[in-house]
Amino acid sequence: MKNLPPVVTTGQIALIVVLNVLAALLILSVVLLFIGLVRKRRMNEASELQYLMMDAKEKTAYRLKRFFYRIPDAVYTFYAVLIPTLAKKAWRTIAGIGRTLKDALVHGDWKTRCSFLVMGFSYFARKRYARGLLFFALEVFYILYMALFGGYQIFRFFTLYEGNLQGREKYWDDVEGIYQYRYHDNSQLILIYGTLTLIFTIAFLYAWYKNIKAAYTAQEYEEAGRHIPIAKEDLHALVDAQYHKTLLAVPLAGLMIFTIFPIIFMIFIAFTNYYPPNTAEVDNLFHWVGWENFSTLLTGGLGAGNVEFGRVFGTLLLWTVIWAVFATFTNYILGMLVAIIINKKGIRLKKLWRTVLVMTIAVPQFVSLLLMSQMFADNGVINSLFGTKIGFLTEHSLLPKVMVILINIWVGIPHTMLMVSGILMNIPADLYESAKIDGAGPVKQYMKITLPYILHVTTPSLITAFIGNLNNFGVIYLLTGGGPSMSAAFSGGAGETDLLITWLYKLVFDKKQYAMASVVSIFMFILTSVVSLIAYNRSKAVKNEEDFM
Amino acid sequence: MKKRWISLLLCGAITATAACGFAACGEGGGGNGGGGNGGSNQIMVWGPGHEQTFIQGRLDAYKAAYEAENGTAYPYELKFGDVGEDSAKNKFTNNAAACADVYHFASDQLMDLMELGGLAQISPAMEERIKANDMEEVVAACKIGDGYYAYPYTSDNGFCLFYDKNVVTMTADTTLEDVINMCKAAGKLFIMPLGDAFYVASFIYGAGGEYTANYDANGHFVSSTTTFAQTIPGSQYSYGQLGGDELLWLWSLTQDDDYKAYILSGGNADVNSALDNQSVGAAVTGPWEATQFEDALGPDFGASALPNWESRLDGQTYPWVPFIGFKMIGVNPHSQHLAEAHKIAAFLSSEESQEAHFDSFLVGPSNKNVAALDKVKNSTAFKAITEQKAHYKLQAPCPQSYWNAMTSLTEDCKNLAASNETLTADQMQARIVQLAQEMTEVAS
Repeated sequence: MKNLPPVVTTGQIALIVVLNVLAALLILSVVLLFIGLVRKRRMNEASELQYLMMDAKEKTAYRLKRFFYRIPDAVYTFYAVLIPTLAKKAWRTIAGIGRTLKDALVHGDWKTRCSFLVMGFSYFARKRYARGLLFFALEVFYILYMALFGGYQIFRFFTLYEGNLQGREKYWDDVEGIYQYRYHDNSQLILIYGTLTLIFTIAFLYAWYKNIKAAYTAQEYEEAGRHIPIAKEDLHALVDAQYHKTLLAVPLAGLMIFTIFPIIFMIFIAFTNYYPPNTAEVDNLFHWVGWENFSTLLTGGLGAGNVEFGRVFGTLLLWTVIWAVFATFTNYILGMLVAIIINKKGIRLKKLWRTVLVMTIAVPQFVSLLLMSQMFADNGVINSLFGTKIGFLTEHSLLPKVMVILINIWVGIPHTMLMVSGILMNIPADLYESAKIDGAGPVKQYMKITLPYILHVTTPSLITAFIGNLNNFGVIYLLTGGGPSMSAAFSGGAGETDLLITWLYKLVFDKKQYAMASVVSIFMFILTSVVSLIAYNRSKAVKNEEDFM
Repeated sequence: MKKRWISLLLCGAITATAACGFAACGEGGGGNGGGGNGGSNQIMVWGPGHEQTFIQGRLDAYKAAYEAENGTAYPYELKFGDVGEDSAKNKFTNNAAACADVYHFASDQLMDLMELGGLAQISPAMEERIKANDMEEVVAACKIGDGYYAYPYTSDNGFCLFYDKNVVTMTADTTLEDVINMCKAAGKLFIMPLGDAFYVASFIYGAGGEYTANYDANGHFVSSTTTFAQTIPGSQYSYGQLGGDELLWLWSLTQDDDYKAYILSGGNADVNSALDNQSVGAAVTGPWEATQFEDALGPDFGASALPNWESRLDGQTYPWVPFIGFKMIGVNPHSQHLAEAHKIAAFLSSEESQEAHFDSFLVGPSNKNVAALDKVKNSTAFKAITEQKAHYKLQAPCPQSYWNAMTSLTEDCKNLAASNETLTADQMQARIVQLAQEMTEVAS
């Protein structure tokens, strides 16, 4: 028998929730404090005059230094702006809801007040039966749902299992003469139904609030002698003034079912011990473990299945960032160079060069990648051709990483080349002419005209490329499959060229480490969203939208 | 107004797509599901694709027998799904409830399938039947804890030596080196899948090494132990050292200028193409190749237990000990028609079905009566496997770490051979210690 945890009471759960919130606040404040302290160690920034007096080398060094010193500042500003804004917004919403409810309770007539208990009552009393019926039906449906199904689901949701029964039970069936199987709780299903019920409940509360607000509005209309819309007018509004709601209903529902709900479910998984052996069918029970998985990842302890999640995560995170930087900027810079060279006056057969490069786009990327991975395999074409035995993609050294970046350049350059070519052809020639007249050399022209122009237009795509490369599953998976593998023990199947995303794939599909995979993906989400938000908000394309237009 | 129509059209398109998606989901679920389908009268049987006609024939025979006995139409719809013995486990990994009611699988997946909840215990009455009718070693392999969880089906899922009688003559003293030299002398190939972990540990087992994986009654892997790195009593070498050295020697032959034209590391596909152009001298392979050999060589097809091998380190002769596993038929406990599924599995593994199976594929039965039939007893391949059972290692379930460790050993040997390098006895021992450590690591 597997040891099941003791049954948790609602009081204990409340305590756990409160403690968790407090812990989260504590961690947040420590982080902010730390960033604040780092901010104190600002460099002495040079005045404009001092800056102008520096020579070119010093200027570059100074700007580089300032860039790094400003990073904590940028992060801090981001949070210092984002968090208070969000908090303010949330508070305003809550306060607004509270005010509406209070107004309806204090100033409402008996029709409105009855709506607190019987949804839609106000509408019935004001002879708007269709709306009233709709609200009332919703209430009846919700109560029936909770009584017959949902309440039970919520009850089990707190423990993720019921009673002390394992996933299944075998018993002898004398009539058929065989062993029969009876299936008990399946934590995964309990979690799904529980989550669904929670979402229903929140939706219902929202509808309840809307019902009261609408009831009070109807009362105000009545008092002001205004006409309360009848059903026909309501319907008409749905294809007229409220048309956006009609249109968005289906996509919104799809978004809820296929995106939001799975994400919530996945976040819940991060707080459970849903990893082997709890994934096996015969005892498919898991339960809540609070922040345990997160602390395993952050403190580097030995997690489930004897994987050193912390160490592997750290190593892979570092490589993921290095990869993203190199993959993005090598492609960008080299692609730009190629485009500029091809675009140069006096280069012949421009169309041919472009076509040759674009051919690599015409071949599906996975085909090129698989081909490359075969070519550079231990006994592949390259090794056979030169009679060497270089483990291009399998050596335990820097080589596979370098190879992956190099091959990525080969498949990536044409895209940048195409994009930049388009931009280059759009830069007005008179800019260059006047620059030439003013005595600017090619380097100066490039730095002052070409580069700013390209940067301005391509920064958003650069950011997208960076984020895309953080999660570039295809290239790594097809080229090396993440290999060569790290020292076999404790790595959870991770290889040296694995990005977090490919490791995630292995965790889920090979190792069934659903809970830890969920934690890893939450951290990845934080990483990518922070990077993209900061970078995007600070980019010139957003700040000075009107420039260069 | 135009805009409104366009947006309406778009919304309609989205809805339609979503609806199609749902419909497709429903279809997929229904198509796969034997077990999970409440209320359906479908019973799904999974087996290897190349046996589809045969299995469908057996199912028809079952249906006919039922109808003849009861005088009523058979109430279930029997369907065949192409899932080979080797991939049953993967299917159960995803969703046991959606898997077939009855399925074929290889004995090394027993514990995994048990852990995934894919095996229903068979009734005591049936237990008595298989104990009475089937070979002891196969019945024993169906046992987990105190219960029996699978129906024995075949008894010869292992490898031995198949050869051309014109090229190779096997006697009790013939060694592996002799076989290779005979092939060389005749200008034919000696074929063995040297890169395949299933084959290469056979030398270490031959030297006397042991590997045991322990599972609990729920099919959970508990621990594993191995003696590969231990010194053989009365010798200065370890089991793994001798076996590993032999493996390395074979790999080095594949690079040797005198031998490389006559020795090939390759699997079934290579054996088949070599059979096609009549270049096979001898091959280390199993009964699944029997019909191909019979077709290609006719009366010249010879088969025997694997030859002994003489260690280059201590000069002693050791037997060559292959894995032999079995094939079984399992019943999914999720089945909506569990009793009927058991009956079908029992029928598919019955004496009658096993004989028909042998007739079609020359695969050795686990049923003792069928095995005693003259045509079976005297079949070249089955005789060889029976002979081989004097020295064999039961292919019991073992964790992936075992296969990974063996694969990496043989890969290393291959690379060493490719660069004309060799290992001293000490270096080999260090590599074997690493192997033993890798294979007994707690699997994650």
